[in-house]
Amino acid sequence: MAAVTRDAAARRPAPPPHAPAAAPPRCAPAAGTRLWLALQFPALALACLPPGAADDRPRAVSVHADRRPVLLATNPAARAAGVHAGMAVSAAAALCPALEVTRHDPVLESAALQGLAAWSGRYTSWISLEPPRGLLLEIGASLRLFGGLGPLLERMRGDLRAMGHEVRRAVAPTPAAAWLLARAGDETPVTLAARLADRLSRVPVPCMDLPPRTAHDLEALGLATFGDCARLPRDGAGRRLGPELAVLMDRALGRRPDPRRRWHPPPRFERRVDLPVEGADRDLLLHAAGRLLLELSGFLCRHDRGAGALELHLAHRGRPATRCVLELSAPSRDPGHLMALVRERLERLPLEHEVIHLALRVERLLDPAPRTGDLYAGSAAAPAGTAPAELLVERLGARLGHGAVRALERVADHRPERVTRERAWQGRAGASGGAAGGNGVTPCGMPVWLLPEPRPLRRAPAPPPGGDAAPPSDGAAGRGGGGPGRDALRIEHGPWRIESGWWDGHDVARDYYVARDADGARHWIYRERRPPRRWFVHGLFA
Amino acid sequence: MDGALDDLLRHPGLWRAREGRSGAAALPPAVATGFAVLDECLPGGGWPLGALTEVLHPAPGIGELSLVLPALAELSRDERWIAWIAPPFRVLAPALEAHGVDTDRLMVVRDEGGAGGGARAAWAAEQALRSGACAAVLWWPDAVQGARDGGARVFRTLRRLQLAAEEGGALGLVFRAAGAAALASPAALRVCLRSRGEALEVQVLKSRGGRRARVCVMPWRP
Repeated sequence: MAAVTRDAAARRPAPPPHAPAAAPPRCAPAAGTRLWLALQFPALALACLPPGAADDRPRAVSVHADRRPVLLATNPAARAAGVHAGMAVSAAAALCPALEVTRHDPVLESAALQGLAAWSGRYTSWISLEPPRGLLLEIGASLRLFGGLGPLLERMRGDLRAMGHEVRRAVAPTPAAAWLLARAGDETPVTLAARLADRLSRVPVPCMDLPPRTAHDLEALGLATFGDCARLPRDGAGRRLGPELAVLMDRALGRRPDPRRRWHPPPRFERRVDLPVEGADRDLLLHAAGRLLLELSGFLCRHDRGAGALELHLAHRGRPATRCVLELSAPSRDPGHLMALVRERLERLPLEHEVIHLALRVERLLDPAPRTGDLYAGSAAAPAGTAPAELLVERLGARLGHGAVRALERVADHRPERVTRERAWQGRAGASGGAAGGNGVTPCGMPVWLLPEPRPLRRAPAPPPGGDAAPPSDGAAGRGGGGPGRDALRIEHGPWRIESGWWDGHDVARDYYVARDADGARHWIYRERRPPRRWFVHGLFA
Repeated sequence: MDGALDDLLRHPGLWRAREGRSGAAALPPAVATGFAVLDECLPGGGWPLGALTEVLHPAPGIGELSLVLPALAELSRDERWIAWIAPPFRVLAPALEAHGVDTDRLMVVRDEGGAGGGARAAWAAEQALRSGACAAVLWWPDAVQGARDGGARVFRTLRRLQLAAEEGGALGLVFRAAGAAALASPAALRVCLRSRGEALEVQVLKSRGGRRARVCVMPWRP
């Protein structure tokens, strides 16, 4: 690890001749070079709090330092009013009376940083936590996948904006240099180690996070930037100012190993987002869910797995939580797809009580379905295959309820009400299992439509014109007497006898006939073989 | 001015009668109905793919399904699915197989969720048509809800389904009561069924791409 961070440029096959100045995509380094991205979230303490009903109100987070409360983080509205981090709360309140100050919650902030680390799994597998509010990511190996540095940074920026995080970022060949540049707010990426010394020389001393004594000594010597320090004689500076400065500079310039601890995600995903008290608002809920799903997506990418089911908990005050489980027909980690499913479900969910927090849990990590990218992206041909079918089934299931989409399964039985079973759709593989059930039983003359329950006929059907197959008419025929002409059925052919099921208690003994009514509709009717020998309509030949 | 007119004429929702006659190329692809007399009546020589077809019938059981089953049997040999949205009765697989339909390719969508079920079923039909996963989508709209506001809402729904069918390239089939024949409809093809003795009469009420004959009569026995 240490060896590779050192002098990355020396291992490059051929450094591009042009200067890595303003256009990051053009000076993208060759794949395989170590490149570090530092992400700092100065307002993380604020971003992890429940989102306010209106984000344009000035808000800040306070922390106790030097026995007085000072501001730790502010939102843009507060900064516009002249309130800055580091200011005493009393001074800030005088400057901006509307400022809403919340006490800092380190536990919440730490959980938010863990969530961000999970999210960054979308872009790299090498993640280092830099608490309290920073991440270091090795992105050199990811550049080719994302089409270069520019597109990668652009996608990350989009994600972070969607999650509502303010970020300072910098890219450099060593982790320490990326961190320093991010602290100094220098966002133009440095991809060549040869340019590093020049770019670092402008970093001001206060951004170097040195021990207070060292910083004080440097200020007393009139040294204001990294470049000033670099010009000091090494031995003397080490003796007079302590070892920290030399270590930091050597690490930043890649002259000294700089091991970082690699972050490993937990085995399962469980995150919650607190919602403001007035939180029955679906938009806020969806926004919170979107943030969690982005984190989940990174978590799953990092594990190279897909989620089999999502579990959402909506906690209410003083009531049992609303719990809903979204089953996925195929493991997925695409945040857009998951969000579409969650949106369908949340929009359908009756929200009678306000939600105080939203939790997302994923227990089962499954091997993702092998999904290949479209070779001819943008071709308008109708997509074939099962992937769109699975997307469709999930979307329908999310809104109509799991089990609304069904497949037909054949059962080896002679009774019409049992010959077909509807069961939850499981894709092509599950469907083919039903075909085996049909062996041996090929009932002829069944209609497509079967009534849910046989409907009693009010009047016995008339015999066919020929009169041979006339069903015996007896007392039961007139039962219920004089129904409307709707039931005036005339038998066309039959009977077709079904006697089955005496062994399982659902005994059936019927003679089936095809009969037509006055409108020309063909009904499938039967008469019980045993008393009371009633007539029923059981199906329709459509 | 001309530019604006050209833009208008290019609108996908606009149907120009002339295109139907200009040649077979302008006609949408179709799947043969399996009945030669009926294919003769329909502009594309069959049920149009990528379009919505309305089948109006006075009562269930008159033969409305047997009219489309040969085409469904043909489509079920394809890789894509056949979705039945909110069918009014239970479906018997053996009967479908007797007609040559591969029931492994069937997807039945039912919504038991109480109020608003009609709207949800319409939504499901639209999703299925648009997805590209289905070769054919059959939908039985709720007759009671359809008649409530003079068919205006149904018109909008059918229009959305028509566009979705164009997008997904699917055969969209909507089964409605014959009473709806008087209402306007954006469907590409509308046929009205009537029973005539032993036979089934198919009346073509509307067909995008011109029409050849208005009425055909075909024998029907289950």
